[in-house]
Amino acid sequence: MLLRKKIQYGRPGSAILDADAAGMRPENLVEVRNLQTHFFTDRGIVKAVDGVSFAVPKGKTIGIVGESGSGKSITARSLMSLIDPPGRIVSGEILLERQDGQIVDIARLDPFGSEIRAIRGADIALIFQEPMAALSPVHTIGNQIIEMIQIHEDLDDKAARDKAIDMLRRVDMPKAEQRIDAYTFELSGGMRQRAMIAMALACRPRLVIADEPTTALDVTTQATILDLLRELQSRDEMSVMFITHDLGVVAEIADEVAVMYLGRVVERGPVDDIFEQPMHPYTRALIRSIPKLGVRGRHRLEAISGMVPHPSNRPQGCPFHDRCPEFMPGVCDRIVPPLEKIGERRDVSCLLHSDVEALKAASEQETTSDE
Amino acid sequence: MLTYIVRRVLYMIPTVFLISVVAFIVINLPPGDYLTSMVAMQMEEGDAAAAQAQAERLRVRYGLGEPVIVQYWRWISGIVLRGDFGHSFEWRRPVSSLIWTRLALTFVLSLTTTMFIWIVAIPIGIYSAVKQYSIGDYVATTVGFIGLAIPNFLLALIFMYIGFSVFGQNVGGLYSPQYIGEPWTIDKILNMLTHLWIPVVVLGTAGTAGLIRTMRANLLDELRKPYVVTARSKGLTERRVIMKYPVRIAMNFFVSAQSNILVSLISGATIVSVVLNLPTTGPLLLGALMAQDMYLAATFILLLSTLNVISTLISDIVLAWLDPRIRYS
Repeated sequence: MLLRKKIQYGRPGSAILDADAAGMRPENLVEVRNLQTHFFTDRGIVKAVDGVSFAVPKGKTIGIVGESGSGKSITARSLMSLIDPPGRIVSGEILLERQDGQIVDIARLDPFGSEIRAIRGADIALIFQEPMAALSPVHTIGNQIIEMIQIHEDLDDKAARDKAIDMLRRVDMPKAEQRIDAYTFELSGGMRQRAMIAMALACRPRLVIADEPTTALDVTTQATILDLLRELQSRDEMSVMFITHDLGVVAEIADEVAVMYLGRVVERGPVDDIFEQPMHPYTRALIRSIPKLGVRGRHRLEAISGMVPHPSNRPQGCPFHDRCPEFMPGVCDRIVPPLEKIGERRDVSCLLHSDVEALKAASEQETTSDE
Repeated sequence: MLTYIVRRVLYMIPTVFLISVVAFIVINLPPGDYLTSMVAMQMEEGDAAAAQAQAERLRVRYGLGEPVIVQYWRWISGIVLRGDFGHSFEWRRPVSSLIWTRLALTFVLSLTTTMFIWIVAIPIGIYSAVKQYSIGDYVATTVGFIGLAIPNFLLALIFMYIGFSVFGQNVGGLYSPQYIGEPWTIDKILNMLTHLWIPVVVLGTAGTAGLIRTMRANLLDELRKPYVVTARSKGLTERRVIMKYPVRIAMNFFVSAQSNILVSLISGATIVSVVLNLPTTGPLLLGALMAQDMYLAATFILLLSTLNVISTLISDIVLAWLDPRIRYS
């Protein structure tokens, strides 16, 4: 693992950018541009994230939606430069506005350097899916929360402990003074996730990445944890990147949505637009496959035909074409659709909404110039 | 934690009792006893009547004609009430005068070897796991497999040759010949330390190799766990991430493997001790078993087993101290 240092990370050039040069919009906290994270395995390159672009607005929640294998978790990890070998970020930009207004390109930072370590936990924090596995089984939750505080803040043991108890109270942990000395196996699933959230929020990060934080919980606990996250977000004005496969959860918590398919963002926009006017056939299929309460009838729940292809076996052209009900032969299997802006904070990557002729001409020109 | 320890200590009593019963019965299982073979030997020398008479006297004196249960009671009550382990027929001395130095030396040798194994295996195991498939990992793996594959007695012979031809040390033993039978002095202890490295390295090689593999495999499993990513996502340095979380948890497997190490050390040491002519328990126990010197053999088996029970207890206590999941359940 330490060997990774020998590989040249990022690309030449400074990771700290001028605000004007970066061209970031002031309402955004994070802008991800054409991010590519690939895994260099013995059996070939797996393009887990292959050209992802989206923005996280300040103080808002963005839901990242996709099936298993769509690259949403790898995208989240890329944002903290936490990619295990043989994977690494190969290109693209992850621009983050730090607390002091400085703009940093995380994709250019050494994943073992002190700059990224100062960002992890302080600017961006992670909440994981399975708190039982994501917290150490042999350390108390207090130990792990206090450690987080003491990495980033110059507090003595007593002050850090008081702060940790205070954090546990803020996430509505009952009997926080005693529970701080509890081990994870002594807590219920909901309480473990509260402890995880308390740890993530301990240093008041500006962005919290929640990677399916409610998947492992029962439905009632799920609802209370979602309420808690929403309440904490509005109180602290932090941004949340909520990763899930559950569109119902997204509708409830997100302000904006990015739909991912096979390592790419296929559609993004404000949550109401996405649900009322989905533009991409994949988004439409996802919305149709939500079970609806109160709809009587014997008809079966709609499912999307086929399976997500393995990222190492990506179809030519549009990655969704072999499952798409609106597949255009000769077009969708040839041309890779670009992410096109179709409105304010609204993009879609589908040839139904692109100027196909222009793209064809461009790709032909490319092939002739290659020859 | 205290109740846990007390409970474990109480569990030890029936265990040791059962071991003593089994040890005594097994020693008594072969037909005949030490006196039968003594008489047979003296009869060849022609003095049959005197030998028979002497054997009969001894048989009555040590109660050898009585049922095994009575013999066992006599032996075990002597140990518990008077610290009397019985009489060695072969050595014609009380067992207790024979065993303690040898037990102490065995203990010192085993402990030193265990330390050697830890000091070498833990860092190499961690290195091998963290830098999986690096050149250093391959070197450690290769050396480890060679260490596992070479029989200990062969290694002992090689080291004896090196010790003799390169360092001019006398062959075998735990100290130079002039100290044999001498009282323990600083000089004798220092002299022993210069001799100790051969048996320690010989006995420790296989254990070290095995432990490197165990440590590496366990740590590799732990390094892939989500809590490692959590630790990294807090902004900890890589060294601190690895030492505080996965290494700490991999140590649990490591500690629970320790009780087995002591067992294999003590039983594996016999052949090496014979080859290296070490004054430990192994050769004496072997001789006692061959001569049917029952009290000596049974005492050794009892004490070595007790030592193992205690080391298991210690490793369990350390494990409970390390792992709250054990402590609280």
